[in-house]
Amino acid sequence: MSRYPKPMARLIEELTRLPGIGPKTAQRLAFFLINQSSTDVQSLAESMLEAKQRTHYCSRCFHFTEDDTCIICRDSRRNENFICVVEEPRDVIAMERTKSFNGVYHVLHGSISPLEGVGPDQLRIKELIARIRPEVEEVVLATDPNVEGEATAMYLARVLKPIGVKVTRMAHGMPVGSDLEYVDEVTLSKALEGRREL
Amino acid sequence: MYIKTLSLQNFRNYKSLTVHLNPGLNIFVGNNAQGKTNLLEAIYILSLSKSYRTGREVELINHDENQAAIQARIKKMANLDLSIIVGKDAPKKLLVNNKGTTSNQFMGHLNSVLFTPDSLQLVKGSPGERRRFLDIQICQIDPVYRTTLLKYQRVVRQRNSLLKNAIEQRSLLNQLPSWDEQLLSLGAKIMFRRQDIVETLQYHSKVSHGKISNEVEELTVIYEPFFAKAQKGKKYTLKEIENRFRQLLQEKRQEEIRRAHTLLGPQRDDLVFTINDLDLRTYGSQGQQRTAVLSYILAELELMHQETNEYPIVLLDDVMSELDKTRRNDLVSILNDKAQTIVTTTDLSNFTQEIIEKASVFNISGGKIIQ
Repeated sequence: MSRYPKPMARLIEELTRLPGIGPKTAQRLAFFLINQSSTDVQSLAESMLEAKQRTHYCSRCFHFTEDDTCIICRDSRRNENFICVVEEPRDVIAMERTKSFNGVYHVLHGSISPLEGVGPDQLRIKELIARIRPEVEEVVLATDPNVEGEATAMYLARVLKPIGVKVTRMAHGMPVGSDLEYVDEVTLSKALEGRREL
Repeated sequence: MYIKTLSLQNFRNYKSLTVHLNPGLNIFVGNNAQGKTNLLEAIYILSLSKSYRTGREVELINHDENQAAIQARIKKMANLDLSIIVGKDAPKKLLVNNKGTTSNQFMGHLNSVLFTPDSLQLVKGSPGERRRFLDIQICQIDPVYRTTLLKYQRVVRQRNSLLKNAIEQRSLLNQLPSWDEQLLSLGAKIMFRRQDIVETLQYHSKVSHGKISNEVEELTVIYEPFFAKAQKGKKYTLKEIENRFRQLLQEKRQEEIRRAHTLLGPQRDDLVFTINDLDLRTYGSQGQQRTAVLSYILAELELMHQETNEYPIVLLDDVMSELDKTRRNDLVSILNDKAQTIVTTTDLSNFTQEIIEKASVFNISGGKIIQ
């Protein structure tokens, strides 16, 4: 790193800390930035700072927002008695792309993982329970289909059901628009397990 | 199925090697530490995408080099090219017909059965050894089992960690039931599949053992679930396994909490070998135990053939000197015409002239083949 002038070496080190960026990519990005005009670089730096300072969690669902509550929670056309529970804000974005969910969200910010020291207390679970009023019709658990996501869903089902709310889990199944023969064995066997009567 | 050509670049002590293999028997002869086992290891890696000798893949790369490559052209119905590139800084690349793929998709293209002097310990060794043997077998033929096993192991690690953290913080135990559900359902699936495979292995072991022992001895291989003693002919339904597992989880709850460890599940399964209904572990002679292992391995070939319609590649690492003359000849003659076999030995006189004439013999010295 000593081959670089100090400010550039620092930039490379900072970039290396970003997820998915190794030393080589960091160097490439640093070279690129230094060759940009000052206005462009300033705009990038400001946008980073602004995004960081002005984004926080929605006080109801813990999705990202600029205001006290997020756009989705404020939207009066949405059914606030239908709650979809996800692990991360990016899962909200994914669900929104479907344009087929008209309820609201609750972002846990992680999943239960004792190996990483994450338990229910580290997630936004108390806040979820507080949201379950008698009018709530259904809570759909859309945590990831890995072992941590499943454990989180099981845990939530065990605490939510006694309150008397309907709890559902996202289905595992066949990808739409593909031929059966091209679906991998694991997905296919999951889909078979989750078959339903017609 | 057989390997036509195997090429190695900077793999262990090989700088560059290309070898054309015989569809039948291949014998690699050489002194110790010349690279015979490295060849078998290379084929094993192509088969399971990782080594059985090391978990540190950098060790596979020749000193002073940055990456190692293993390539093979395999003859199935059509030609199939498999290659693996291990780099010092780059992630491992797995290629099928030059197209990159995941390890789950990579496995199952080239099936193999490995037999080393350690395998002879199968009957006497630890239950862990026997489970590992069985799992390697099933993983090669069943991708769903592979995924289930990986998930299950993750659940056990998470659950153990939870039990450990709960020593300090008792309130954490309220999430134990959420892990139990997965422990149960994944665990029961693994056990059900193991029971099923062992039943097939049992059938084939009995047949091959009968041949080797001239029908004097009857070998039985029995699956022993963690919750019951091995019982010949006993078959549990998936539901029965789940119920028994569930019941024991309730009964052992306090003990698990006290010992801060998962005490139940397929990680405690075992296999029991008997000859004429006597437990081989305690009553078998060393010779009987070895014959039983041979029969078991031959049964693995038949199982793979039954499941995939093809015999796996048989890798025999230095086992010839461990077997007496009769067993050696029995083994080679049974393998002959069935499966491509790759044998390493320090002493060619372990084989009869008749066998040598039909085989391809390669002399290995210092990471090279000497003609």
